[in-house]
Amino acid sequence: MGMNYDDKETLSQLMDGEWQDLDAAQSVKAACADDELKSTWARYHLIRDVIRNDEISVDTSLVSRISQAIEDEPTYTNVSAIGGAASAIESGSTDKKSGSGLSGSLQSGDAESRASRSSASQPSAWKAGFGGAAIAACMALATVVGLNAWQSAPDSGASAQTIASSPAVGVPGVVLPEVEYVSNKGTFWVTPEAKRNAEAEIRLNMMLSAHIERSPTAERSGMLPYSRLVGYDAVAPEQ
Amino acid sequence: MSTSYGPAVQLLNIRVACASLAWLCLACVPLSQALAGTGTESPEDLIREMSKALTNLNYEGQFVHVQNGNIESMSIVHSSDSGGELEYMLSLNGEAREVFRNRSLVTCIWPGSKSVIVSDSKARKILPNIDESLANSEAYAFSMDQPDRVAGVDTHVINIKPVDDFRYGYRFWVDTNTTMLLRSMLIDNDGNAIEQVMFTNISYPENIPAERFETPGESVQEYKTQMPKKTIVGSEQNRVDFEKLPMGYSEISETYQSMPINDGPVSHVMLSDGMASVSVYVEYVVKSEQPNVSLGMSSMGGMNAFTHSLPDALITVVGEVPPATVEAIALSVRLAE
Repeated sequence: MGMNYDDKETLSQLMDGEWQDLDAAQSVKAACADDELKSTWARYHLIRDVIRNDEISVDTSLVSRISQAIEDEPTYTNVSAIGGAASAIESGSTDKKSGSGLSGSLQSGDAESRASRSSASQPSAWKAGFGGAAIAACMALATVVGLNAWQSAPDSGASAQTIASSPAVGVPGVVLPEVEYVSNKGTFWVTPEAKRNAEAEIRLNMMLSAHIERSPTAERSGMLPYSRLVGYDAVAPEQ
Repeated sequence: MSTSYGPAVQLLNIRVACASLAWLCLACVPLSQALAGTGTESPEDLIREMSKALTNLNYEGQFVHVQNGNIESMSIVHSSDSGGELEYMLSLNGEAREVFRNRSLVTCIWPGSKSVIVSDSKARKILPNIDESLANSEAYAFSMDQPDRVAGVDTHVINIKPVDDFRYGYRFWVDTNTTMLLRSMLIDNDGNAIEQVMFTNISYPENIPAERFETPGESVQEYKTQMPKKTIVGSEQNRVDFEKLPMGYSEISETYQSMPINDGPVSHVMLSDGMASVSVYVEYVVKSEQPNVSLGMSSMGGMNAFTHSLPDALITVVGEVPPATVEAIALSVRLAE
């Protein structure tokens, strides 16, 4: 099926979120039914990402999960046709790992022509896969951006700063919220020296054990006397 | 040795009321004394009863230890009879670090680094009694706070506020029935909680089998073990003096004996202000033969140590007191000629 100007315009509107003038369900169904439209959809996203200098990467697990969820969702039967793209997406991931993936190609420029050549040499499965990835990624984008907006609603200023300083990860164009991970640094004797000294720490532990045993206030110091030694993280042999 | 307490704890939780009642009836340990501390005692009295409960009661439970942003969950089993105390503590996350404490030895095992430290255990009842110093303390202000609940148990809450920066503050949550310490908070001079211990469940079994406290044998034979040295050179030797101690601290004891940290005899002086204790270790080693240690301050949560090298001795001060205190004490050590 040939693609006309109206089809491209519809895709553009879909990408820009101008859904109000469209029959969205019908448009998505039409896009899913046409390999060329799906390929164009994918290219539009890639071009947009390159223009925005976003990292071109696809979180295949996320996209796969979204695609699978879409496939499993009976209500949206018009979208389910692209659900089978997961395997193709994974093949794209393999390609990326090999060092000749789209990310590297697109970062060197000429995005659309490379994407086109690629789609020509690997016809329907690849195109269907990438189209699915793009649409699924778009949905993921909407989800995460929506989540961002919801989380940052009380203080949009702080959120904007966070987003601006965050690297793009996962889905193209998506900036995940910064998360300060809780890391268990371990419990040990901290000294001004940069490197832990196993011999010195063992000596201090022996002194601590003797201190606990001879302390007349061990039971009133609050801590269960040996909890520090049980919590102590010994120096690993390789350190 | 790794031990799972799940079924035992469940069973003991069911039995706890009966067991506690049996304890009362049999009065086989001084729980009656602890239970007497449920009325209108002063905070100082409650702290004394809490200390007795930690030593004299049978108890078993899980607790969390929070230190420098690290959270460790641990289990403890403690038993006491006329022969002394038995205790087993196990880390429930990360490597299964264990401490066994029986009537003569304390064994600390770190399986990750395959290391074991064994040191002498000393019966609490032969330690110096400092209760009077607590009652007349000029170093702390004691007060009762609003009652609270910990691990499903009603508790008294005691605040202990230091009068200066040479000691930490404390906040204790004490079981209203048994006077067992169920939660504690160590508070620095800025009012921040630098360490906390809190039981998440606790039971008071009537009897705990002795095999629960047996140290592992073959499984740790290959570990590098630091053993205590049995040769005691002497005791109550007045070899260490102090130019000036921080207010409230006084000398409780001094020994001069062999320790695992050194081939020769070591002076060990115990100082206390009634709530906190500080150990001063003096190793009589000339500078060129002193071990590879970290000079200056070392800290592990609220526990601080300061190591100071002299031409003919290495001084290490260890205590659950602020860094300034261990440093001030270490620098004030004067050795007998």
